[in-house]
Amino acid sequence: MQPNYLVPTLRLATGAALLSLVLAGCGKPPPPGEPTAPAQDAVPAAPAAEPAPSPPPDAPPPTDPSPAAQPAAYQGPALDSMLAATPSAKLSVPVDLRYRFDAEPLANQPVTLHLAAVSRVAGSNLHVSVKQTQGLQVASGPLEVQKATVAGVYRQQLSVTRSAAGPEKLRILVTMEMPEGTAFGYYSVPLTGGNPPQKLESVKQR
Amino acid sequence: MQRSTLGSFSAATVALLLASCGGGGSDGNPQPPPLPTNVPPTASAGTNQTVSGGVLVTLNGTGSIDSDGSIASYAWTQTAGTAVTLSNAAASQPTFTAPSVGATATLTFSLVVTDNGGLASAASTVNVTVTPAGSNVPPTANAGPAQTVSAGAVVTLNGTGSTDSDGTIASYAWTQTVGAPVTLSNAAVAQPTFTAPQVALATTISFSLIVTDNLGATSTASTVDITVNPAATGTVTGRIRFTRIPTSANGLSYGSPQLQVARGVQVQAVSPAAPTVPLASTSTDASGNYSLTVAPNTNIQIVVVAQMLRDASQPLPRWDFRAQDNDAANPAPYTYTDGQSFDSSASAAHNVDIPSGFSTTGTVTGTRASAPFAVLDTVYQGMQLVLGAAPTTNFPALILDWASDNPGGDTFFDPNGAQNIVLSADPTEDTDEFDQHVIAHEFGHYIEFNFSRADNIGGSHGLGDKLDIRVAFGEGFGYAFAAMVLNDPLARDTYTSQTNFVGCSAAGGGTFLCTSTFNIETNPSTTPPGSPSGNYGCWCSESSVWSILWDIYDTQADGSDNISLGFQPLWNVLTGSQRTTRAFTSIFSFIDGLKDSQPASAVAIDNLLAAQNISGVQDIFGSGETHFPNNVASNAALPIYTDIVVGGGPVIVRNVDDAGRYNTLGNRRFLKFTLATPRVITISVSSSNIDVNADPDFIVYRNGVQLNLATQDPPPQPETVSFSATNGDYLLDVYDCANGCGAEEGTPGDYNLTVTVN
Repeated sequence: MQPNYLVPTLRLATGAALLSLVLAGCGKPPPPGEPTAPAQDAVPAAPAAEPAPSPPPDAPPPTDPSPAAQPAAYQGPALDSMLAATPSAKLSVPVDLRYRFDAEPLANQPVTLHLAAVSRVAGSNLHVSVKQTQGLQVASGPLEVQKATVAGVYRQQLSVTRSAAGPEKLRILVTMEMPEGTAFGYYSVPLTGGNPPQKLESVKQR
Repeated sequence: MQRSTLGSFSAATVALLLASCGGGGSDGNPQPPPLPTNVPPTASAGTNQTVSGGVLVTLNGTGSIDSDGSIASYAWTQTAGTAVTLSNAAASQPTFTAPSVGATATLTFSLVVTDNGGLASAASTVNVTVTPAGSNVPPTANAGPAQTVSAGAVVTLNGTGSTDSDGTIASYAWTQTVGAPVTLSNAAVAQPTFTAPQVALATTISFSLIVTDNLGATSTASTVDITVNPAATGTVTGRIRFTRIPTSANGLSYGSPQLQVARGVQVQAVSPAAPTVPLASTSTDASGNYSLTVAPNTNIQIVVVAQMLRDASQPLPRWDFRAQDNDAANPAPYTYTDGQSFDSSASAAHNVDIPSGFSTTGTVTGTRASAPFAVLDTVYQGMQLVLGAAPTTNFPALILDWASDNPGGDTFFDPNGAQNIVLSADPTEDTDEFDQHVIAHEFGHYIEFNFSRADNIGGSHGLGDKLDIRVAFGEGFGYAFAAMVLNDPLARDTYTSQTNFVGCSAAGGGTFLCTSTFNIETNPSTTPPGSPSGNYGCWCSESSVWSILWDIYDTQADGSDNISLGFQPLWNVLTGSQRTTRAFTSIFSFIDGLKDSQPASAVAIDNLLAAQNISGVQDIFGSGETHFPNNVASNAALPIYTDIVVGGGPVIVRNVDDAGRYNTLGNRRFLKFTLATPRVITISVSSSNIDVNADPDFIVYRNGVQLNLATQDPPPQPETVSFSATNGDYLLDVYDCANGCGAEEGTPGDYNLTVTVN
């Protein structure tokens, strides 16, 4: 893609058409040709019945991968082959959420969704959960990571089945605790239209 | 009439009494009081008449009056025309027989009356027109007596006094001759009616009546004046409250709704029959009270409008903040109409409480009517903070775009076009109408954009991100401003989850009400202390910015915080040096301006900076800064601005995606140079990115203002521009598009950017 950046204002306008990817930000994918290193990848966890314990407010930041974040058989697609889920417009969680479907989501057809949460800062109790709504079946519990590291990549794959009258997009809630406080963000993943364009927003929106 | 005939004794006695009370003449001698004066009577010889010869005519002097007594005698005298003999010249109603005439003739009579005090009136005359016997005598119109009525009253004109001496009145013709047009019920009847119009001041409306007799003769016109006074008014008072769902550490507390006064919102009185036409309007005061002036005995309803307005008809300050659904077919401020209509003359206060539309468990059970008013009330608080520092502020119009179908999470300020704050409203995910810190934060963006300068490039950002300095300052200011507005440093943003996290509480039905919380007061500092690289505190952290600004503002001394300047100095810098800074708007430009204006506080300010891993600010560019966050390469973070010399050869800066893309630290690099003499300069930027489509990019600013330059856009590299440059201080914002563009383009990574200015 080669946007026209001839004039700053035109640059903004062009950028707006593609902004969703920016709004989502992205992690630091490996150089082309290199495999994605899943050393910090976490395995999907069962839904939590109780909240995970929170570190004390003055606890030092986690520096090691979570014990739960063990290398696993699931490698997932390369980050640079995944699209950026659209994050909330307001102050959110410092996580880039990327996704890829194995096939085009069709009505009443299960499809595998690959998710990768890339933490931009160190944190704890990273949760990624798909919002259950009418017309949508998601065969997985939330992704839970007790300790998230800077640039850590945390993956999950889910089976998603959307009915004909189901939602047009998945809504995915990501939460994490940082020393500054707790944060959350809802991300959107389109379920219709193949790889539809992302939400258009002005880069000047704050 | 009681004629006064006080004797000398009585007069002297009264005079002495007056003197003893301080009255009397200026010479000190007692003066006699003025004796009562007899007012002369007024004669009325009646209305002119037209009669045939041989007819018995009656003159009518009974309309004569004496204001302070009575009429004692009448004296009629014929002054013109064929002489006739009056039955009794001293009677009030003498008669005579009209003489036979060959042609129409006029007889004139004069009447003088004398009152019971012996005073005579001036003469009043009346004409009697005598027509030849057998001819039709025209009728005489009488439009009736003058009337004084109130606006809105039904007025009946009275032409029944019209006469025809030799026949009957066959028709009436009323015409309005003076005043705002009114509609007569029927202009051809003896007693038509009309409704007196609304007037601001006493107003006269006049009508003319011409009658026609049974033989077709018409009268001369008779007129009547109707004086319309403004309607008597009544005052309707009451209090407006809205339902707020309070926040807690564990989500919105739907079970504990609170009624809070709605401040500064528009209130209207309307007729239920015409609810879109306000009969009166006003704004609530700081206690939510309103007072409306409407006509008495009017059936009205109260409508509350989600708008705070002080328009151009009023002196500064002014504002226009409205909550509405911008996606509606015809966007307009929300209204809440009280279900009860009542008589405007009812004396009881008429209070209105606006419901939330939520059940105690958070289920939507009705219209979420209070949401727009909750949003506006937070804006009201923000406005008060500004007015405290700048009492004559003229706030540009702002729309609070809230709608129950707004998606969750999408809350932002959009300065483009009509300025909007869009608010998320999905209670199954994230609804922000009750999240006051979120609303006040966005209002802070509005304030910065309109009254200071916001170089913030926007984009998504998360708590703890290391950001472009422009973004860090704009977002940090927003939340610091919110804490100041609410006088509460504990920022909360509530949301709803289907999973139970820390900060959540069960709401039933598999949902949990949650709160994201961060403390503006206690942002963590660097780790380890003294290290040049740190995890948290940073000039690139919105958390550090809000912590510093809040500590400068607040009255509480704690830790490194030994300063309390309040809002005024912050406002002065925002609207002063920060607005015109030659650097980008950042913590550096702001603090430099603050230290210049508050030199006595410079040390205390530097202490706050040090606690956030920021060197003592030396200038607007952050010169001398040595700290950097430990997740970004030092050569991609420092220096904040790299000097480049015109014609001085290439300068290489490091451009990275270490902390994210587009708006995080290292995505954009800044260079600066000063041009002393106007000349043509050529700027060139190339990237070490080997991608064939690599796209280095740059934006040029002069004295803090972006220049609209048409650059030569690669591929192939480099990107260049030549232009006639005037002297001034120039900034370059350079980046590889893979890292710093508004959309993903190419492969993000660590690149060197080579910049030349020739």
